[in-house]
Formats: sequence, structure tokens, C-alpha cells
Amino acid sequence: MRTTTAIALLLAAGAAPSPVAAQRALQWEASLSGVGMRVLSTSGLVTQKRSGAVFGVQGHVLFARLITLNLGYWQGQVTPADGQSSIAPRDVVEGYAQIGARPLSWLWLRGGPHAWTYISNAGRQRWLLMEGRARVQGEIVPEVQSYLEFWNVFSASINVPEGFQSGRGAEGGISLRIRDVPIIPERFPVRIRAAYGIERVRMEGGVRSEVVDRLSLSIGIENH
Amino acid sequence: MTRAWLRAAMALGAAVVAVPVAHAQDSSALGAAAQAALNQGVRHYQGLQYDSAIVYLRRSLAGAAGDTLSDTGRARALSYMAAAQLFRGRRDSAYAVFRRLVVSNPRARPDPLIFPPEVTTIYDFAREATKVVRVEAPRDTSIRLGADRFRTRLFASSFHQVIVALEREDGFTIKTLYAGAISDTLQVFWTGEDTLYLANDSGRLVFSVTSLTSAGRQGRVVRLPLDLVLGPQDTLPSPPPLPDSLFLPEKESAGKGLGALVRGAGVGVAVALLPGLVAGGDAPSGSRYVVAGGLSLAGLVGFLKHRPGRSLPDNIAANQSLREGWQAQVQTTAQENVIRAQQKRLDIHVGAPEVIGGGP
Repeated sequence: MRTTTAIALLLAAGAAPSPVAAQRALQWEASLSGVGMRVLSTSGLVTQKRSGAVFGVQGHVLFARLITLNLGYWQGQVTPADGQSSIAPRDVVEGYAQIGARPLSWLWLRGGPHAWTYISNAGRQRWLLMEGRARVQGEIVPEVQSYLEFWNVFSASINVPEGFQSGRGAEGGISLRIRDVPIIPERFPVRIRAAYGIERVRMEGGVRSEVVDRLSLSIGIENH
Repeated sequence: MTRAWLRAAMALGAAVVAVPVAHAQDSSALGAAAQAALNQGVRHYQGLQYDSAIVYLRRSLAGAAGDTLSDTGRARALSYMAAAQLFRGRRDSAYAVFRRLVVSNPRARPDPLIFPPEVTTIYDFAREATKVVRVEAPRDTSIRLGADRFRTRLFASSFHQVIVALEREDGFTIKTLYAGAISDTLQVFWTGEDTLYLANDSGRLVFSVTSLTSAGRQGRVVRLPLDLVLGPQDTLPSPPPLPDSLFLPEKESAGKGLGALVRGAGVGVAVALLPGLVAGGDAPSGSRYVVAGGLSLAGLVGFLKHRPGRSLPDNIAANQSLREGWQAQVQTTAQENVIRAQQKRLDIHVGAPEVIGGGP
């Protein structure tokens, strides 16, 4: 665990130094995104694999170059993987609303609820996690940025018999900002982002866990 | 009787106004004893003790070397003495004292807020009848022959005719710089080209100002000795070489390229390792390699773009422009120095003025 954290911080530090050019009092970004999802639900000796896609919107607002408000919403469906036809497909609704701060131009911190619901013929399974996230980002070349984000789940409310034990996740990605192109307004450059993230939530006793693996693509505009 | 009371009241009023002003004006008086005598004289004048006031004021004006009043203090002492003489009923003596004031400083005036009109009127008569000029010139100066001029300012007591000339020490007139009327002030210029009368590269000439009486006769002469030294013009120092801190790096340093590589390929590797780091290797999907590959590629591009040792054309151009600007400055300085080498410089030191005739 300690080794993992140390490696994560080392990589985060490598991704760090990059000045943010914009100095506006109110900055924001809004994007449409599609997420390729793989869900690995383990309960005892039974492991269910599902995959599918969810689509939605996400964005953030940065006030006074310090305070952030992050919102996201997706919905879609995950279906059983090949060879598991006995498992029912699930509709997925996912969202988060988190507030945070950007103490340094390359460091973003945020925390708040992150929830998703699985809807199937068997009923609804609700996951409400309280997370704390830290993101470091840096410029690779002008207009191309990379980032790494790590989060930990501090508490969770899940309607399954077992109690919450632990949860954590990480995401890394690359984004390209497009500007100075005739069809794109000068004030609102377009940002295209590709990211891969994974998180695991464990329940008490270690008999139940949920691993969610995401590949997301998004396109949006910003006024940074 | 009434007239005597009126005088006393005017003198007292003048004294009330004068005391604080006097202290402020004479704070720079040269001699302490002379200044003390002046203050005593003023106090006695304010106490209507004119005889004793005159004694103290004379004492202040007769200070030995190193214990004399400043110009302002001298003018003040003479003004009080003239007023005291007038209030003693000695109008001629008051007139004579005011003539001394005019001769010593044509620009000095008794303050009309301190002294009553009957005092200032006598001063006006004295000033009108006294034809003197005060000459002001910079004590030490240098001029470029053919380019600059030596400037003197003349201050006249009243309208009269003057002759301003440059002379040898033996009195021979080298050049008449001005001959005509002066009313209040006049500037006289000398180009310095008459230095050919010097026996060698240094010597002394005399700047003389002769005031003429109303009858056209020579009245008073002020002679300023000019000690002259002729030498080559100073050259300008060549601009110092530009410090390295002004130049931008012309080749890419290692840090930027390596930073891009870490932020790209490093994060790419991290993404590839995320399932192992976070989920203990459970359910790794191959999709992470798409993102990891993109990051690694971008990092590689960033590294190549900023690879160590790569030439930076913008910085090279900026540095070249800086060097060219410096070269232009060097050339301009060199050209200016060629011109200066052909010019002569005249150092002028003005000695103490000598006054001949024309007054008390």
C-alpha cells in the first residue's frame, strides 16, 4: 500500500510543473463525453463481468482561480461479457458533484459525493461514495496536457448486506486544446480529452468488491 | 508730537512682522558675532533706540574676515540702518546707506511690508541715482570651442549704459562683447574663441563690465578674472560589453525536453500500471494502452521538439538584434569621439570680482 502510494506521488510529481496561462476570475469547461465501461462485480466466489458504454456531460467552474465546482452525469447500459449469458444486463446512471480548490496552477484538489446506480430486473443497487481527489497536470507541448488523478473513498453507502471497507481509484489522460482554427471561436477553444481510469471498492469481509474500469473520450469547450 | 508717535507705531509694527521673518532669513549667516550684532541692532531699532541700533548695525557690517554677514544679512543690516538714520532725522545719511545697499547688491530691496513708504522712497531715489551692475557667472565651467558659450548674467540697479568687454590683465581690450543699455537684467555670452591671445594653453583674461554715468562717463567697473585652460575635448567611453544575462539561450536546455518526456511517457507508463496500482491487477482492460500510447507519443514528440542542444531561432534572432544594437552604439561613440578629438575644450575658473570706483 505504501509502495503504491509512493509510486503514485512520484508519478504525480513528474506530471506537475506547468503554468496555466489564463488568469480570468471565472474559468469554466464543459464537455460531452462517452465512456467505455467494464465492471467486474465479485461476490464470494461469483464474478460477474459486464461492459458497455455510458454517455453524458461533465464540467467544472473555477472561481477566482482557486475554488472549483465539478459536476458530471452519465447514463447507459452495461451488458454481460461473452460467455455469461445468464447475467442480466444493467442500466447505469452515474454522477458526481464535488467542490475543491486549485492551490497551485498544476494541482487540483476536490471532494464530495460520487454515486452510481445499477438498474436491472432484480432491482436497484445504489452506490454513494464520498471521495477525496487530487489531480496533477502538466504541459507536454503547447496545447497538449497530461494529467494524473488519484482518489480515495472515505465513506460509502451501498444497499448491499456487507458494510463498506475501502475504495480508491486513479485516472490518467491526455488532452489537446484546439484554437486558432477558423470555425472555433477565439474565446472558447475546444478541448479533446482521452483518459483511462480504474477504481475498486471493497466491502467488509473481502467477499464483495466492485472494480470499474473506464476509457473515456470527451470533447468540450472552455474559457481558460 | 503726533508725527513722532506715528513713526514709533510704524516701527513697532514693522518690528512685530520682521522678527520671525528675520530669524528664518538669516539662519545661514556666516559670522556668529556679526549675526549677533545684527540681531541686537534690530532689537534696539524695534525698541526705538535708533542711536544704539546704528552702533550695533555698524558693528555687524564691519565684521572681520570670516565673521561677515551673508548677502541677505548685509542687505537687512543696511536697510535697518538706513531706516534708523531716517527716524533720527538724518535723511542724507539714510540716502547714503541705501546707496551702499544698492552698490553691494543691486537686487536687494527693503521689504515694503516691514519698512514704511517714506523709507522705501528714499531707497528708490538712491537706486535710481546709483548706476551699478552685479555680475554673476558660474565659478567653474567647461565649454567646447565652436559649440558652447560661456554665459554671464548682469543685474543692474537701474537703467544705464554698460560696456562689457574681454581684456587682457594689462587692460588691453581684446573684444567688446556688448555695448548698450541695461535696464534690469542682461545675459552676455562669450564663445571662447579669443583664447588665441593666450601665450600658451593656459592663462588669464578679464571679463569687465563698465557702467557709464548719465553723462556718459565711466562710473563703476567690475572686473572678473577668468583663469583659462585649453585642452582636448573629453572623449566618450566606449559602451561596455553586454552582460551574458541579457542574452537568451540559443540552444535548448535538457530540462524542458526531459520534462515533456516525463509528463508524456511517464504518465503513459503510469496509466499502463494503474490496474496494478489501484485494483491489484483485477480486470485490466487493454483500452488503457490506447491512452498510455497517446501519452507516450506526445511525450516523445515533446522531447524531440525540445531536445537538448536544439537551436532556438527566435532566441538567436533576438540575441543578434541585441548584438547589432550594441555594435551600432560602439560605432556611434567612435564617430562622436573622432569629432571630439578635433574640438578643443576650454576650462574657465572665475576668480573673485574686483570693483573699481563708482560708489561708497
